[in-house]
Amino acid sequence: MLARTRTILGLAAIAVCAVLGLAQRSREADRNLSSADRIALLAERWHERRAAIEEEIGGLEGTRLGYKHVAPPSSRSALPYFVAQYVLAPAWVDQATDLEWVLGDFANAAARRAWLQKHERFQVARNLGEGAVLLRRDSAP
Amino acid sequence: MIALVLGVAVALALGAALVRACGGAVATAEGIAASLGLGLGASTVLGFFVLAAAGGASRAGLWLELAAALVLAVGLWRRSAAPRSVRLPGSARTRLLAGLVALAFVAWAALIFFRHVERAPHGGWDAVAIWNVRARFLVQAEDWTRALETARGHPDYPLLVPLAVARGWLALGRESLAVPQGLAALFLLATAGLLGAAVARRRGAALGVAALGAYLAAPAVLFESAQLLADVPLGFFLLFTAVAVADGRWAAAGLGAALAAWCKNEGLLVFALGALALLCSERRAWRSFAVGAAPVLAALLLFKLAYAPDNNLVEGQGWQASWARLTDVSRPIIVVQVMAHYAWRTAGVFLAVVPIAVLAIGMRRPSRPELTATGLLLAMVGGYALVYVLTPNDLVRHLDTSCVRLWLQLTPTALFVALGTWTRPPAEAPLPETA
Repeated sequence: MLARTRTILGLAAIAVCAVLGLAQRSREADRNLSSADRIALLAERWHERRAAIEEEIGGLEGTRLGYKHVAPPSSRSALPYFVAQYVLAPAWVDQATDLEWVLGDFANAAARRAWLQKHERFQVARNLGEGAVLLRRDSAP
Repeated sequence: MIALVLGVAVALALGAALVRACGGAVATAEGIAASLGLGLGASTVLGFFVLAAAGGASRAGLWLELAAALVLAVGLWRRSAAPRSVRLPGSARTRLLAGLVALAFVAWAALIFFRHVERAPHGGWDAVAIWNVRARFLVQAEDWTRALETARGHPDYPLLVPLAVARGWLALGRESLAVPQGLAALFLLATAGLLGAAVARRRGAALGVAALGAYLAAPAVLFESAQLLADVPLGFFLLFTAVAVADGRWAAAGLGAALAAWCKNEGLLVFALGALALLCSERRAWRSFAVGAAPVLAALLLFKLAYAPDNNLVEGQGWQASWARLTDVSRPIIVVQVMAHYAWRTAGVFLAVVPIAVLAIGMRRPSRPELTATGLLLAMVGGYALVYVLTPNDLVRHLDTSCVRLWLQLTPTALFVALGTWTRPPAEAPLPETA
């Protein structure tokens, strides 16, 4: 009889915790829904610009693109680069600026102007909007 | 869409044939869950051979692979003997009630999972930076090996998840996010189903549904599953291996351990420890283990030796540096502290409730194979801790960015070991298998 009671208590403890746990997970999921997902926002940003980039450089297959992200120190992260690589595959996106084509990912127009003043060999090949630009490097030495 | 459904059906058929060939019963909840996970994994092994032979992924290659999988499934099915039928412990009424509760848990978990997916359809950081970017290269690049060059420091990770996603996209004819999301959902379902059904077979339906509920309600499981990573699939293969070890089915253990290694590098540890468990407990069964593992291991060796670059964790090792890390007493302390913290973040209150429930229900001395399964789990925890102690990366950062996912891999096996091997059957002893 005691063994049966202990069994019921043991099973009930797990079952109650499972129900309460799922209720808690459900609340967490609802709370999360109200905040935008950063990866989804970044992916959307490059997805909208992918066709323009492709058109400008004549196809993404086998292309090597540089990538430069200029953002305030507080929001610096490798995530925007990885999302750009993810969306622009099969182009190879490299965190470098020594390539003919470079994607500029700037926090604002002032940051873009400042960077371009320091890097005179780059010209804006296409302004993709919202701080995103496709830059072309002057091949002259 | 028809091709996608056909692809999943063929994978399920291949999985069912593999379950039967390894001595398992197919027409049970456990058999169906095992077939689903094994089939999804094993079909990527065939996919890899086709990819390597053809030099690229294509729809024609997909059809060839599906045809090969079907021929293999029929061949395996016909050559293997029908398994002994399994009579589950407990009354039909208890089993029906437990089944309904399990369905309610799964339905509730599905709603939560898809809410996470709705918010973050691309999954988490690693889904974007490792798994799905590789799938995109596999589908779009003329040279598939460029998929291995993609960044994030893990170019040598094996291809189970990217190939499964790429196959889905090829079948569908477009790159829909529904494919990686569906794959994650199927592996979550297969893991929960295998866990619940394996515990139910061994210790009764009530404990089976308790194990399933505890797994789905653990704090990290649904959120991390919706990150579309390889850790839930790896957790499935580790669980399958542990169940097979506890049952003494060594061909199945070899297959599960090899698929774990084909899923993610941590799975190499599952394979090595599975082989060690074999040596410790049932040396004569090595042939069965090797036969189960061989086809997957062949794909893994081909991938690692012919295509994959070196591993960053291995590259950063040297005898002197490793010895210095090993003898630095502060490192194991940090590792234990942080691993304990993340164990709580992953499993939450179940870390305390499950052991208390096991004590309340009563413990039973496990059989030798069951003890081996426990040893496999403990050795996995120890192995992960050792990898952290030896890591050439920043220790705390490495722990912070990966520890939850390692516990996520281990959670279903831990629940199986606790509730399916150490706990006394609650009401009545399991009925013997009948011929």
